[in-house]
Amino acid sequence: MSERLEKLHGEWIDRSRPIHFQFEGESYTGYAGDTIGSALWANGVHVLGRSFKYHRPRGIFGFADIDCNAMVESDSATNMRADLTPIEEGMSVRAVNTLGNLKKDRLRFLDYFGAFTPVGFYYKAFHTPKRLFPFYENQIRKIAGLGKVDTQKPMKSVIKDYGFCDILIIGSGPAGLSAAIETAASGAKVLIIDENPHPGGTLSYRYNNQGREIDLLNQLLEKVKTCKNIQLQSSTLASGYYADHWICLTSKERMTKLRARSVIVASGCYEQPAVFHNNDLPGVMLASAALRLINHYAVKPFRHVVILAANADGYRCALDFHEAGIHVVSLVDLRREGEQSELERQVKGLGITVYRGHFIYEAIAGRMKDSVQGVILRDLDADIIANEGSEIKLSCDGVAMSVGWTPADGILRQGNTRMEYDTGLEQFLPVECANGMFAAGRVNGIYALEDQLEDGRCAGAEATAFIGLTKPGKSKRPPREGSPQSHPHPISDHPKGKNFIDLDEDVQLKDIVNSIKEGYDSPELLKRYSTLGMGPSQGKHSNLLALRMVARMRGETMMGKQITTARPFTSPISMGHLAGRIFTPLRRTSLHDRHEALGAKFMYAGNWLRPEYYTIDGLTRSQCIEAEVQNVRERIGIVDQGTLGKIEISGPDVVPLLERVYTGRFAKLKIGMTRYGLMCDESGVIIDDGVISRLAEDRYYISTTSSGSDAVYQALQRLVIEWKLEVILVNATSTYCAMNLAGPHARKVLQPLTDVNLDQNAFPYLGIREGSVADVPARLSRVGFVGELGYEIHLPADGAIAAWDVIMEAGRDYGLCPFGVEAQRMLRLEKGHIIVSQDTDGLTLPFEAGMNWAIKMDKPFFIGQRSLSIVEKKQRERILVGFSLPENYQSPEPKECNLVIKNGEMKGRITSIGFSPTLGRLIGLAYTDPEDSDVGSILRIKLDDGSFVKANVVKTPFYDPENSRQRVSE
Amino acid sequence: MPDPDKVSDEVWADYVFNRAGEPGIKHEWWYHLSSGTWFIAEHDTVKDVFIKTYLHQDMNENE
Repeated sequence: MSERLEKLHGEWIDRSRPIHFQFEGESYTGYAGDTIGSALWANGVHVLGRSFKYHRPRGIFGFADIDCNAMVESDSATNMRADLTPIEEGMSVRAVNTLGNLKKDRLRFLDYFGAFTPVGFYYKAFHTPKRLFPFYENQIRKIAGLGKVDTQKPMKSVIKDYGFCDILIIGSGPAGLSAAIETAASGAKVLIIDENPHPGGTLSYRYNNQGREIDLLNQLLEKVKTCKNIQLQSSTLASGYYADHWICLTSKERMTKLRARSVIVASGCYEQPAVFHNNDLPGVMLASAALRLINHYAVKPFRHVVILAANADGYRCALDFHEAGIHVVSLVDLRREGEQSELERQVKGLGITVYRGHFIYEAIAGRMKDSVQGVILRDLDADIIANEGSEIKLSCDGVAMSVGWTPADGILRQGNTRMEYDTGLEQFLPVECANGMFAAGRVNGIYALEDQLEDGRCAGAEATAFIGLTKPGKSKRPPREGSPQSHPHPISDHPKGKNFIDLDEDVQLKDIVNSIKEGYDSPELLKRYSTLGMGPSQGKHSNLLALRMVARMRGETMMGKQITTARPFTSPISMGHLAGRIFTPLRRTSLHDRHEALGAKFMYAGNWLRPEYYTIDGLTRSQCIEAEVQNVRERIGIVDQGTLGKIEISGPDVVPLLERVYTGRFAKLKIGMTRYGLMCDESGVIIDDGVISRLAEDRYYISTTSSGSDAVYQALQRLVIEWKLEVILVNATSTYCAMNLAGPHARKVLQPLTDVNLDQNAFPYLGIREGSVADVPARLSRVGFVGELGYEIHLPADGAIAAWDVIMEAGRDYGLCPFGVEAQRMLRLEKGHIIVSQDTDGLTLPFEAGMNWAIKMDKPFFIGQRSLSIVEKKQRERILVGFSLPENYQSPEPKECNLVIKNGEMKGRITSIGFSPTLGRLIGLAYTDPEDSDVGSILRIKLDDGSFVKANVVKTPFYDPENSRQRVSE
Repeated sequence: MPDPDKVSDEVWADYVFNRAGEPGIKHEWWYHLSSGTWFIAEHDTVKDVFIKTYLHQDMNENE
């Protein structure tokens, strides 16, 4: 049974290319350009989906992304709108949210239980007992809902890009195209987008049979084509508006973040449904949906139709339907006065009966509720309530509703455009647009075609003037006049209900009435309680109707009433559009290739990829790490520290800057020496640490933590500005590579490779020298982080590999091996050094972390000093202590963040822990009650499995407390 | 910043922990990552509109 019409002028399908696809396991054929919905309708299939809650059969309703009647899934995607998704060769889709199959959904019985599930039913029925809620929720989820997400599917990434234009025009209908043409002369770079696969808006489907509008469309498109500055992009939706005209454009395989200098919204209107019993049956649809089916896809929406109208559009539809060979049974006009124009005469002239002041009281359903068999009309009294008695019964297989419009104002509202209800047009209208945003055409309340073209021209001129390309002229917008296009109350009650206000969520009229009666009588509350507008189409066909009910029941007018603003995205988009690559490039140090060749196992450290440890065949992870630690203690190791933050600071005011940002003293730091620096924020909390080196009188070099490098650099920059200091800062983090050569043999290995005298007297502990290593210019400093004789070597990143190779070769006979982050962490733990942000958190004060020695409270000023002077007087709440477990302790091993418990209360947590190969036992750092911080105290640590283990508080450093190892002179 | 040497603990704590959040015209510090430039943005947080931007050193002539 084919419902395809004769070839139409301007149709979107290509009859020379048949496309085969499957729906619910059955094979069908459509044409290229068809959507799943149009192709099925052409094949006589009218049930495209089941509703969310009652599992009622649903078909094409709005056909413009304003309902989710027809949601389908394939093996690769879910929740696709069947009515709008183009068919592809070999595609196989099935309806979502059915048990069994679409035709005989085993959950269709739920439709008969509607009376037992009033509004708020789930809230009221299932909130107690609390322990059963997960069970209820699970069951409800199985029944109600949309498609299932298959988490096993491979992720498909969607292209993300950035776009720029002078003027973005949303919508390529008469107003949008005419606005674009108006801007052409100004030279502005213009982008017109349209969510449909073809441009034209209403010109592409309304009153096509008269030929006039499609010809006008072609003329406009020809003009646009000749303008080089205008780009037209179809199948693209403006799905979100953000500050300063930043618009999110989405298409099937792309998300573009577009910055426009000005935006013209010519997005048209959404047609609004009428509410009557069974208004959701397949075959009941918006008049615009029927016109789209006819003119875009050459598909007959129905054979015998009753038109429900409240505006002139309904009469024009009657003429179009007749032209398309559809039998128009009757036209039912809600208005008592009717159309009273030439149109009515034309309609009657075709032999079509017009019922003025009548309403469809109910649509008569077929046996399976999957079709329309007729309608029952009632006449309306003055208060627009359908009267009992005098019923008229008509036979038909379709109903077309043309009772009103609401502006497609998602982007306008997100852009802070003030929308107000206009009682003349009985709809919302933009009153005041945000700066640089302009509305034109039907979204602006302009309905006559000539006026829409003029309104577009005005908007175009206003936009070019706004961005300064043309002089502001007098823009005289056409007036918003004429009779209302929307009916103020197209709603009829029915004892059997099933008169849906929101089809997405199966919200019936009585649900709205009961919600309002229960006191949820503001749009925000009503929405949350009844779930109105919370479906995928975000109330595009229901918000206005519900607001009309609120006003009516409260005995108020629509004046001043407001509907809720739908957040981005204006239409659901796939997770793939949102998920994706992080816009933070992964960072590798200049020695990365060498680590890889040495068998490094890499780990993420912030954005950096660092060697965690170097794998050795036959050894476990912890054995490898222990071997690396031992090698540093006994022989010599080398670690890549290229991730350290590095900043060059020079200028006359360097000392005041350092004195104010670090807690220690630096004024008297000798040239050629380094000193540890601790940084606090204004509340006294530790935020960073590093080594400050003085290279010359007014030239310093500082290192920061790897994770804090950018933040510290930016903070210093800002302080230099605020304090008006003469200081030059250079962020050298990536300019230099750094490595630490440490172990008893360090001097012996390094001396032959450098022109710096490494003699203990010439280059003492904590000294810094400039020279070269392996002929690469380098800075050498003696630091004590890992607790052995060691040299930190900083050198230009492009010389790092050459120097590394020479050092590795020179150290071979001494047993030089690289070590990774894990070994370094253990080496410093043995020395009791803290790592900022591992052993400190967002509240840690220096006194708590045993850093009192680094704080010089008697300095004139440093950031955090004043706050520390206050908290210093208060009692400590926690103290960081070293602890160890007995040598023979067997697993389970405590872990970082295991809690320290005393008398049932949390007193702290483990911040670092690991097996020390040097000491032969588990050692760590933990916060605890100050009362238990003395050496010899016992900590009770709660393990992951809930059991407790006792640890002894011990003195730190655990290893070499006299620091003799790092001062060896040999 | 109040003078840390002169103010009471209470006034200092108020400075450190309490920020005036009421909507209005704020002078915000913004950082342009690509060029590493700090600048001041006058931000009307009622309307979410940026009135103007300038470098800190030009603050006086902009106020």
